Formats: sequence, C-alpha cells, structure tokens
Amino acid sequence: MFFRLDRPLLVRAAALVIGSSAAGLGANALRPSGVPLLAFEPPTACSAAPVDEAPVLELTAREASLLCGRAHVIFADTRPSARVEEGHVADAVYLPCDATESGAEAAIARLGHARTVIVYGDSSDDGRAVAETLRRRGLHADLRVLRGGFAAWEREGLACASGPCVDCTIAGSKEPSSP
Amino acid sequence: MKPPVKAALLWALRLGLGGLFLVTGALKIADPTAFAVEIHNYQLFPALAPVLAATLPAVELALGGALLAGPRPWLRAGAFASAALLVVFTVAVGSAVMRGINISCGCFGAGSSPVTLLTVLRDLALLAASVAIFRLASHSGGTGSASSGAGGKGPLPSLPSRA
Repeated sequence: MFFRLDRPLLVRAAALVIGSSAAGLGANALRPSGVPLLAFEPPTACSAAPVDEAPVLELTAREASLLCGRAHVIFADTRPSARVEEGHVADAVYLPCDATESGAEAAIARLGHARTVIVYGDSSDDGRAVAETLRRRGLHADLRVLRGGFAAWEREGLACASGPCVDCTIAGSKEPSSP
Repeated sequence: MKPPVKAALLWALRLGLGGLFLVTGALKIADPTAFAVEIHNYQLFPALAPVLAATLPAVELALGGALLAGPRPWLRAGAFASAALLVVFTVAVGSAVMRGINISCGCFGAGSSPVTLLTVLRDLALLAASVAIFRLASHSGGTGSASSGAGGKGPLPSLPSRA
C-alpha cells in the first residue's frame, strides 16, 4: 500500500488544497488581469504556434477554384465581418479570428463533415494561423490555406456561384455572389 | 536503505518536486487567462477551465511550499495531495494522447511543449516522486524541518540513535 492514510493527514491535505484554492480565487477576483469565471470564452487564436507534424498546405486561388465544385469541400473565411460583407467566396463558413468560443464551436461543427477545408484570410498568414488552430483542436479534415488570401482570389476574378460549393462554377466576376 | 541515504534522497526529492511546483505555479499564475485557454483545449471539462486556471497555480504554490519547507505532518500531506493532483494531470494528458489531439500541455504556462507520450511518462515519474516522498517522510527521520515541530507525534518512528 502506497499511502497509510489517517484522519489528520487527510485534513491537512484538504486544508492545503481548499485553502490555496480559496486564496487563488480571491487573488483572481482582485487582479485586473484575472480570468473571468463566468464570462470566460476563449477566442479562436490567430497566433497559434506552428504545428510540426501534418503541416497545413497552401494552394493557389486557381487550384482552390478547381476544388470548388467538389462535394465535401468547404471554404472558411477568417476575416472580420466588414471585410466579408465586401465580398467572399460563396457559402464560405464564417470563422473570424476574434470569434467567441460558442461562435467558433458552431462554425467548427459545420466544418466537421468536410473532407477538405480551405481556409483563407486577408493574407496567407491569417489563414494559416486559423488552420493550425483548427488542426490543434482536432479537426482531421485535409486543411489547406489559400495562398495570398482573398485578395489573390479576387485578382484571379474567381467566385463560387451558388450552393455549398456543390454546383458552383468558376466565374469571371470579381463580385462573388452572396451565400 | 541506511537512514542518511534515506534522508539525502528525501531532501533531493523535496527540492526537486517542491521546486518544480513553485516554478510551475509561478509561471501559470502570471497569465491565468492563457492558462484557462490551455485547460480548455483539453476538451475534458471546458466549463471548469476558468475556475481551474484561478485555483491550480495557487494549489501548486502551496504544495511546493509544503514539500520544500513544511514540517513532517504537512510534508506528508503535501506529498499526498501532490500525488492526487499528479494522478489528475496524468489522466488529463493521457486522454489527450489517446484522443490524438495536438495541444500544448500547459504544464509550464504559456509556451509549454505539446502533449506527447513523454509528457505522460514525465507525470508518472513525478507521481512516483510524490509517493516516494510520502513513504520516506513516514518512515525515515533526520530530514531537517520534516523532523521538527509536530513531526515527532503520531505514527512517525523516532530518530535512530547514532550513539
């Protein structure tokens, strides 16, 4: 038997844990930088550390547009809502860097059935950071980042015309249709 | 094992484990929000993440203090509580490895290394150290503050005579 337990031992151990926990909660309440106990919602990080294994691959706007017509391919837009309103890939899932935890969970649930998820932001780095966060959170889809971000997509004059990338076609319009 | 060897081993384990708890507690308490995110990433009890982030660093600091400087009854209690805490840590990192989720362990606050099988083995080694401290503090004497104060009471054996 590893431990010979007795009542004083258990009382002291409980005092250590409970007393220090209470002190921790008190200090947290007094600190301006304390974590909010009830309103805590971790953001989707845009500063994820690079993941060594299973790297997220980049693909060009042209390559991404070829995947547009395939089933189980979903685009995820990580830009702020104002930028999304200006133009976006049709039916892209909105997954901004500053999404609340509940918003991110809902978006990730929509990505869960996809085999390939193409993440894009204003730049390659924006999309890569979110893609690596998705990988860390256990999304096992084939994750790709749109090289150059949405600006590259616009430069190529590409757009998914309709539907959840099932019937979308490559169009010459620079004004992607709304989902 | 001879009493001086036991005493030296006990002190080495106390310094190692107690010092480690003090360092990890201090690193985690510096940024509780980042630590809450690390806990949340385990996807075990996400609703408890902020409470655990507020309390765990203080618990680790208290356990580190008890292991390093506590009189024997508190040393034994600290070792027992450390073992219980390390069982929880081991289960958490083990479940992350089993589920294949790639997360930072959060063991040393922000910037900790990813959870791997090595993390599990490290926690098991620390758990073994806690158990060893408990057993050595229960059966050996002559360990500085561990033998002072109320340490002479209860089930502890008396110091061996060197006369």
